Amino acid sequence: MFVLDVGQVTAYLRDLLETDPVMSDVWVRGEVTSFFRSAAGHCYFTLSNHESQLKCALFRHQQRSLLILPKVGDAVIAHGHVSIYDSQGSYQLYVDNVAPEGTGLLQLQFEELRRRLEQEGLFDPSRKRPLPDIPQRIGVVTSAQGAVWHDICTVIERRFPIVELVLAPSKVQGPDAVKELVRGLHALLDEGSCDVIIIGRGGGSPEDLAPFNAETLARAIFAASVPIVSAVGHETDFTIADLVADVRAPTPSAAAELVVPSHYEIRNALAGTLKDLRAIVLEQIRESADALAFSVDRVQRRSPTRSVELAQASVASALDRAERAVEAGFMARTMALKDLQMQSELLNPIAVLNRGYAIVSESSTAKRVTGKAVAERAGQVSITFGDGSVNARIDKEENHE
Amino acid sequence: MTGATSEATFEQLLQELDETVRKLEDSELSLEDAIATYEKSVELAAACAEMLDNAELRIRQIDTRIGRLRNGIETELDAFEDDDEDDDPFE
Repeated sequence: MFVLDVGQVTAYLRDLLETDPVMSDVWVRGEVTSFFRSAAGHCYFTLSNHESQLKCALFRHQQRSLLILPKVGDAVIAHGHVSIYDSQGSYQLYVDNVAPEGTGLLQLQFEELRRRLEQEGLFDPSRKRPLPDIPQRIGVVTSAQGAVWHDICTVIERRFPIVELVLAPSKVQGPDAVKELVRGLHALLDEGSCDVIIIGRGGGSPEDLAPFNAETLARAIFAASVPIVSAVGHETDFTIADLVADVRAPTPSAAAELVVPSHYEIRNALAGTLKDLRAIVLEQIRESADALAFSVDRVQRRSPTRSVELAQASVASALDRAERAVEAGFMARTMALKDLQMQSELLNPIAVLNRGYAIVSESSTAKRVTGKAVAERAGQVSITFGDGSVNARIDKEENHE
Repeated sequence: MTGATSEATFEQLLQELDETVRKLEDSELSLEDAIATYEKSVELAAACAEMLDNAELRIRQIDTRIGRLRNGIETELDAFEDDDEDDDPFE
């Protein structure tokens, strides 16, 4: 037996309620039978069902995301946790979401989770990671059966066959699907060789897609160390997994298109780069060739042709001078010779003889006879004319002067 | 040409030619010496002219090479630039 005071009972019950898996996270259906809004903006209302009533509190900060506030007479479905209100000793539902009855439960759960995760920042665009340009290895979490895996393989084979594909097979619907999807994702992440992971399934009913709205999967995707591409159903389906993934692909085929480049694109990009490179190199060669041509022009303008011409002129002029000098020397000598000839001509005695003079010499001694006495003494003389000599005898002359 | 002059540069030869001619012009040489000097100057002039002929020939050859070089570069560049650039280099 325990003896407790009131506060202890309240604390015990609150603890019980707040740790209870059903009471701590529950959807409650009922009719609003009273409604009161405090000055502080908090709402208090009662949900009734036959004879039962449940007090509900909807605080102001929870109202912001609601589309409409409930009013008396509404049939609604409310989400929240049940706890104790100490001062009144009563239990009540602390509401965080309320919507008109008839809204699907799945839809409400979806909206509630979406709101919560959004507030936590799991969908923040700033944390979305870019996909690798050229992945080496792509992980896929999906069913080994069915079209999804086949579609992804087909697209990859067509677009970028050199990439490696790894499948982590998983159920994609039913009670074990969430657990298997998370396990598959973790298996690929732990293995560590994938650059990007596609997680997805084909289209289906909202119930079929439910595993992709699970909070544990959302958190696993959020915590992943590589970019995650979600590919759930067909374009119109939108899941929590889509919101938290780094990239949302409308279909599995589209996911495969997104994660690999087309090899045609790569080829075209390479061809473009090569063309640019070629143009740059050609331009450089052209510039060098122009510079070379300019230098060659300069060299040619300074070609020694002119020097050779000048040198040729020097040689020719030297030769001319030599000729003239020799000519002059020759002329001078010729003139001198002529002068001498003329002089010797004048002195030549033969020339005198030719003019009628003769030389008389003694025959015995061949001495010139220079006077009358010598001639008389000599008796015999030789008379030489221009063309020869004759002998002559000198007669003694009797003084008949 | 003697061994000594075959080693000489054109400028040395030209100088020698000039000196020889000057001797011919200025000094009173004997006829024998004048003729020998004249002969020497003609030989020197011939050696100079031969060197110049060679120089001219080499310049002409160099000009031809320059022309060929320039035409070659232009032609090859043009051929490159006219290449069909739309060819897919990967085909």
